[in-house]
Amino acid sequence: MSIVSVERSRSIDEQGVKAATFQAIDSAGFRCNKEVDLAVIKPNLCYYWDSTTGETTDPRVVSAIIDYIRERVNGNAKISIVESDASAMRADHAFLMLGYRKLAKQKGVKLENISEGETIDKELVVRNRRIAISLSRTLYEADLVINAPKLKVGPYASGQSPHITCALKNFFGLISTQRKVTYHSFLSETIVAVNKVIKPDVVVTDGIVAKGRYPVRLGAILCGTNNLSVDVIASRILGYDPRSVDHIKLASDEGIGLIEGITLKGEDLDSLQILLPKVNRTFLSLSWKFQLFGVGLYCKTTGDTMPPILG
Amino acid sequence: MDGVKVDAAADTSEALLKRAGAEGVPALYRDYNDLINKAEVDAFIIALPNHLHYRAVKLAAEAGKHVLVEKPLANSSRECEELLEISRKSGIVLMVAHNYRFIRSVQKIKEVYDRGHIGEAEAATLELVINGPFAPSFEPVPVPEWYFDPSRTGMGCLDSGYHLIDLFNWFFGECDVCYAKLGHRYNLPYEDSAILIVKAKHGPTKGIINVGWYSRMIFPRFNFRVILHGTEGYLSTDSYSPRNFYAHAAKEMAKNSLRRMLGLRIRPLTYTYYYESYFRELELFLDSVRKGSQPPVTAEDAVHVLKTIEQAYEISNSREELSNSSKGIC
Repeated sequence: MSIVSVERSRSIDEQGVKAATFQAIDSAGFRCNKEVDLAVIKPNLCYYWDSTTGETTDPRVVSAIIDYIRERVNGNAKISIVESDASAMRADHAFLMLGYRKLAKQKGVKLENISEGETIDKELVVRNRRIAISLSRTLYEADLVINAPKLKVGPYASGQSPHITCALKNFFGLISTQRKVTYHSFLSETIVAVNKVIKPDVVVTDGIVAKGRYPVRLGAILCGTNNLSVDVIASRILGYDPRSVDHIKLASDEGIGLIEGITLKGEDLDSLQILLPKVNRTFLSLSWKFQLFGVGLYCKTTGDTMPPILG
Repeated sequence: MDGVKVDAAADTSEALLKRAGAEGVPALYRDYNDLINKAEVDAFIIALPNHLHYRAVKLAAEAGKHVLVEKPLANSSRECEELLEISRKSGIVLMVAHNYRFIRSVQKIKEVYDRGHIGEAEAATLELVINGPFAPSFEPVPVPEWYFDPSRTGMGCLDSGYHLIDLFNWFFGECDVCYAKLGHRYNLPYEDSAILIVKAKHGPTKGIINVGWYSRMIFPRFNFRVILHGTEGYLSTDSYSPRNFYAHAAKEMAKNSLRRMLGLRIRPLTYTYYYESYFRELELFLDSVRKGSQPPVTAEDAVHVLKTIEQAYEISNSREELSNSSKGIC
């Protein structure tokens, strides 16, 4: 049986976020029964937009996780915040711009760009597709892996993105390859492949500002010990049937967790769903494709120019 | 564009050179120095990173070639003055790409204001809050490294504020900075937001300039406006901007398709609303080159803007020093 807790911070300040994070971790039944010398925290720093846009993990949530490790697990554990380079983003710049460099200095933790340094290559088969991924050695050496995703609906530009990009998808960012866009045509399979190799000890989801059609100040923290279970609850909050989300269904089929039988603790999901109207992904995807097709056709027939942002 | 041929191009990117080759550009160079020294052309368009403008413009002007350069002309007013002097001596057309002057809504309010319909402007509000260099491109590629290096950018979001200062100067003449507050939300080594209060040197108009690189908003949404508050009424670019970008694009596309069918010249990029201004400035530059006339934006205009930006940094720094030394003032 899997437990997912949902706590809401009544005041969205550092103290409020910390209290909600501690409460959510405790309610999720997380108990650390092993010796922890090295803990890694993987926030979602997908681009250079700060957490108030609903795109990236709030550093205050990561700060609360660091406090939790120090206060409840091991006060002397080495802690690394990890992120990899992406097709359009450099982890080092994201650390600086999103306040993580400041946080690391303040808390005495390390920032690690896992696109650099030693990696271990793996090859897996998911849904009959062979997938090769490279993962940092640090992830294998860590005694405690904490996933700190963002509660949000994914971008649409590629047309290949999943409905929600929460816990399972955040581990896609563990792949050290910079040009991750090359995985986009088989994104669900790749997400599941990474999740087969690396399992989190605890998942602390930042829903302080969540993102559906637009950012919403929810003040919520979702916590669990299984990426799939957390994503099931996250998708319900975001208004999706988890079985309709390809990578969640695939993860369930591949034995990463169960869609059913999750015990929910804390907040009532209905109250959160009301605040977060559903995004119509099909319409958005079609609308993008239709617009690009229309502009392309127009430029071809009239001889007009396409601006570089679209070309 | 009629009567214009692109004969040569230079870029460090192989992919872009390949693309230029595919578009029919015959001479391609990896080094802009080679382009300036070897290419037999009349004019150059310089769209290099900010810190390279000064050197490239200088080389081109000394070679007697006309230049359209992306703003800023150079990273300091001293360098801009030097380039102004060189361009005067060599008799070339040197135009700086202040494209915001050529946005349709801006042109419209300038025209109405100059006719005196709102009386005299006592105050102006100029706003541009965008994502600056952090706009994600359709094909995901990293933000160029030079954008993270203040020694190469020369400035932060005042690089965009540059347009607003130029618009204020264009409407009301040169200005002085009365107040400047810079913000650093994204912890960059330069400002990502700025509020300036400026005052026209030779007139009553005061202006509030509000610029930022902190917004995630992506085109076609465009958080830009100029509002003029006059003694008889007010004018806003919002009144002349498309309310619905999609409807606007469809309308302009239909118009151009009709022009094409009737064998008339199309008006490029009008459907994008914003990019049309680039085409317009290029047309005007080439017109000045053909006629040997003064371009609509001169190096002198660039000097004025750079001086205002330097003044803004000076005022902001002295305010910071004041607030650091006297607790509680700010």
